[in-house]
Amino acid sequence: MKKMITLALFLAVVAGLSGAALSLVYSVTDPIIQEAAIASEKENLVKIYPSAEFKLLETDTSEFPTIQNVYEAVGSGYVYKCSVVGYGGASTPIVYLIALDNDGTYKGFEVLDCSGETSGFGSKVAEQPFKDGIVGKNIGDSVDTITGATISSAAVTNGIEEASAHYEQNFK
Amino acid sequence: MELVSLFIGLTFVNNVVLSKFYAVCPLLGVSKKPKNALNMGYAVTFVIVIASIVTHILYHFVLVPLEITYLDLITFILVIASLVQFVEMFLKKTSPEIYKSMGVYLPLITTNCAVLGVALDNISANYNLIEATVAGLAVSVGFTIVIYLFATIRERLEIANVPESFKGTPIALITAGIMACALAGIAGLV
Amino acid sequence: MNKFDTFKKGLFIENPIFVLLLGLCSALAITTSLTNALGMGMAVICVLIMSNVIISLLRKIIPNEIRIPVFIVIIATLVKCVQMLMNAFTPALYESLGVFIPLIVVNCIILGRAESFASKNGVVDSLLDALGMGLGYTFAVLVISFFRELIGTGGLSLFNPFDASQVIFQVQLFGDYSVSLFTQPAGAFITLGCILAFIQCLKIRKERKAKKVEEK
Repeated sequence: MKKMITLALFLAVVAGLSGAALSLVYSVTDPIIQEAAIASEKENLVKIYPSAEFKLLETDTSEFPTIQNVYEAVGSGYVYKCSVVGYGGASTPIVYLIALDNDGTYKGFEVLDCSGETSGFGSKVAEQPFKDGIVGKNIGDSVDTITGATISSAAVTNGIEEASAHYEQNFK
Repeated sequence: MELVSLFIGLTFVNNVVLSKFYAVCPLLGVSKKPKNALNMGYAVTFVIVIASIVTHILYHFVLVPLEITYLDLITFILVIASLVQFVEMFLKKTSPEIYKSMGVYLPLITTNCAVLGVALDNISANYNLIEATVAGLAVSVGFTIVIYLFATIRERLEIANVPESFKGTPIALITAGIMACALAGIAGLV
Repeated sequence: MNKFDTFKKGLFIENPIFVLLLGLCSALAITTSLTNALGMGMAVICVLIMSNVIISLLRKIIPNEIRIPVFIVIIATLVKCVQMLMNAFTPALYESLGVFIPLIVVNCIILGRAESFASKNGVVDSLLDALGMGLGYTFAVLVISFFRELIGTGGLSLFNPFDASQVIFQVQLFGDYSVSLFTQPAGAFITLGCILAFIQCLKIRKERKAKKVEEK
């Protein structure tokens, strides 16, 4: 019996030590990983705010399942990265950026990935006419969906509404 | 419907053994007798299905809320090791014959890439609990089918006239290669 | 056995992949390009050296009954550290190796060396053994990926694993006649099968020669 306790204690000590070592390495590498992630995202962010500084915000988005990340373009506004399920199913979601100015105007819209959507129909969410229908409008204005690509475009506007709701809750 | 296509996709089209090389070691080691191969398949199926459920629950309900997801690897491997230990004790009591015939390959299920691989893949594919269970089942059924087929082919190879330098492992690997080719033929199915 | 032999045996006589047939999963999966193989080789060397040294240092403290779980915990910790470091400093390599970095945990070479060598030998010997085995693994995956990349894409290329944009060399030899099967899973099995057959052929010849000498 005494032997059992020694063994269990030994295993626990080893596990504890390894946990400590891991959290140390994690605390060193995590900022670098985050920074690299932002750096690769920046290429897209500068399309909307060409000369802004970007910060990845740590906010609670658990109420808004489509929001993946929130970036602050310091002094200008906020950029949301959203991922919504369109016509291509959950395995190939539509991923896009939607930017909101400090006064609640949609400043920019960039689709990063809509490879799961039918080309010629759902893929229209990445094209200029749909983008023009969003940029410049204010929170609360309705965004028109695309005929023939209702599911894809409705999924996108749904995500935009969630981003707007999050914006109103946190940055107003 | 989505679950069915997930199942078929993981069992045949993206069979983990032949397309991701998980579990190549037991494939070459155990599969000399079809019967042993089947027993191995059953044991692995049990471990993988339970492991994918347990790791899913631990990851999403313990590691994520506590923000210690960097402990995933240690947690998973300990879960798998204890499951294998359980299977070993169970087999030793209920059927000593199977236990004996599987020999050293039974404890080696711990280091079977398929078990840990499925657990990690389930997390990165963001499956829910049901999908994770189905994925675990599909992978292990795929593994069992391949290891059984492979064992029957190898039994034939034993009596075939193989060039001397290809005898044993080399011809077995080339057989696996041809099986992988055959599977690649149905790649567009799902 | 002297120190040099401890180091050397992993390279050829007991090469983990070509002779012991350990750790085949990763060796088959990541050998699509020389760059991937080199990166994986370095990751395995790191983990192997650290695990062998730590386990050989602790070999007298670890109770015999629970040595395997303790080894696994130590190895998993090291692998996770390497994984996080690679994610931070070699993001491109991290992406292309994917799930096979965490799968180093279940690479039989590492647990095998811990159990059969490091838990019985001193620190210096274990270090040399790890270095030899690690280099043997790297050598083997480089050979496999050399053939796969050459036949599969018709050229060879090597990028700096730490900075994917830095090209070390890149040649295109016969792009029009490449067999893309070799970059696919099936090609991996066939390549390794042929290499093993070649080694077996050499062995058979050697044995025959030895026999002839004896007869004379």
